[in-house]
Amino acid sequence: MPKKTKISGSDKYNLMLALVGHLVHTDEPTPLSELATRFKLSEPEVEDAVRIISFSGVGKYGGGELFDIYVEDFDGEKTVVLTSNPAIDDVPRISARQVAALSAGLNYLAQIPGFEQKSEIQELLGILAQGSTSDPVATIDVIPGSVDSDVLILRKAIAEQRRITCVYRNAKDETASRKIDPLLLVSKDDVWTLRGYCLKNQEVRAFRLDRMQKAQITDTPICQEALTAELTEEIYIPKDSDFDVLLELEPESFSIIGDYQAQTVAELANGNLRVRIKVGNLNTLGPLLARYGGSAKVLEPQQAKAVVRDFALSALGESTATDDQAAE
Amino acid sequence: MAEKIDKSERLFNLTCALLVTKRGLTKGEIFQTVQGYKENFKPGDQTAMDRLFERDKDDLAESGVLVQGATPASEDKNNQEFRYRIPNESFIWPKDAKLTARQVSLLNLAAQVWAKASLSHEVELALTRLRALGDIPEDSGILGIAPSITTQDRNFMPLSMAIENAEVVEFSYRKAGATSPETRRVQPWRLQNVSGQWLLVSLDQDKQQVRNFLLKRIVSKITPSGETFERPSQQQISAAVTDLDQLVERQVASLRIKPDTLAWNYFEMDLPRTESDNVHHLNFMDEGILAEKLRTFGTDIEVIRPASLAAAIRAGLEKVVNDHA
Repeated sequence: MPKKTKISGSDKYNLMLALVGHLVHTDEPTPLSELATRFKLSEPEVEDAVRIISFSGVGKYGGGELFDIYVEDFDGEKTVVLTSNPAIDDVPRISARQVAALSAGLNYLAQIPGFEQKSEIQELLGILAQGSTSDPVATIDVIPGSVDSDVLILRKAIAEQRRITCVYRNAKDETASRKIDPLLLVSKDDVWTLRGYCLKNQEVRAFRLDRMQKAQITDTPICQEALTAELTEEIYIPKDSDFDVLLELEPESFSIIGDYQAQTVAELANGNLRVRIKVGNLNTLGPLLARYGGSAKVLEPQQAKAVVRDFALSALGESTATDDQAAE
Repeated sequence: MAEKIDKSERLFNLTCALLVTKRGLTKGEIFQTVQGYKENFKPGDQTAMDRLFERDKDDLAESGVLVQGATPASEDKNNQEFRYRIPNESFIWPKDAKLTARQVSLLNLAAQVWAKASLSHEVELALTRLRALGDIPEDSGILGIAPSITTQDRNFMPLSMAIENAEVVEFSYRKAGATSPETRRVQPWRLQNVSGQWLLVSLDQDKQQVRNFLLKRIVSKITPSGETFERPSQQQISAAVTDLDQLVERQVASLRIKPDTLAWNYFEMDLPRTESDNVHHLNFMDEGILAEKLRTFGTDIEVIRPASLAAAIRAGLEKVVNDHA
């Protein structure tokens, strides 16, 4: 039974435009399975869109003509045929903003080290610009910051499915050499992360590139466990042992909300927010709160406030009673 | 009992009707003849239909289909004679546009950049159209990489709309280190992400000068003023971007970095380098943003210059100490 996901009315409408725009170019029956693959949808979803198009047409102001489109079933092989089309001559254009967003995405890709398709990207940008409904002025753009030099090595290792070794500094500030079977390089804004099968922990872990040193490709192919590993969306799953921390945020630090999946407790009259976050290790709060330099503060627990205060004091070069970080 | 018509069916029939019409259709004609409207239309009760029509136009616009008024824009839109149409030449893709499988997979990847952003739905809609134009890609060698940009800022989408509508906006902006915000009125031109920070490139209405604003320092929700402006030319935008690049070129910070620390990793101090010692030079766009990053490294780094950066780091840390007494 094919999976039937629910697509929204406007998504379905958009699909209908694209379907007709695609089918006008062919007189041959098109396999339903091919259309489903093309539009990355299930066959029932495409079939449903075809059904609705078949009810559609133009009213009396356009001569009263209906679409003639149907699904044929030959020995279980379903095909779609469009024989009459009163309105849509080709695939519709896309909006200036859609062009801007896709172009910015392409430009961003072009700036990733080792991305060798620069001329292809130039050509694509030209095609997109032609297909815009209005004059496309670049209203969105993305300029990446310096990208970690390991990106190049890791991309190569992923493509060749070979194990890497590196020195990695963990969240507790301990360094150790690691063997990793690399699977996917993920960037979120300016932070690059490698998802890979960690031989030490025997599971897929995320490794930040700014904590990685001396990455080297080995001759060992990645292991079976890595090949079959499932890469799920990386979402932090809170544990029972996590600390529940109450923060007050000025607008300048609202990005904490998305980064830590914070829960908003109250909106204050001055525009500030009170939010709760979960953290596994209170020590991570030190650099986090120091970053925002006063636009975010911990309200409770007291223990967390002390950690933040100690980090800031130590960063100022002032020793504190509990300052044992410097000794390590 | 009104017949239940799928929304997609109504939008599709509306599009077809507006495409085929030569002189445009009035709302009355639409409500009486287009499937999805005519079944529910009761003469004398236009309000619900009007609302539905406005929502549908928005859905069409999000999908990239622009409905035009076929009478001069100066006429009152409530006028019974006001006509709507979709000109075919602006609707369909230029003839013979074709994409290779490889180009489609590059576009898939470009769209993925926005997968975690508020633009993701619009980009996905565009991609469906583009998939209709191209060959079907196989999984290719550009996999293995998943770059993404986030647009968590609450003002990102409203600003993006204001840029599209060429509408002047107002907001409260708090400069780095300032205690109280100021009200700014600007023509929004462009949203630019520089090293992970969203920036609004705009023309300040009061100063009549190009000004850049970091979205994170816009401390209010933006208010569209209703006043429109003439869109900037590509040259004006390019000039603004060049100015920004030159600013980054000019601003250099020098840091001394403690070996074998997180900051040492971060700045890749283990790589072969021309500079001696433990000193690292870097260009920056905004001192406040750089101070934020550097504060997370604690005593791993020491700012050699500029003095204002060192002061900004210090002031922030002192405020944190006081806030957490």
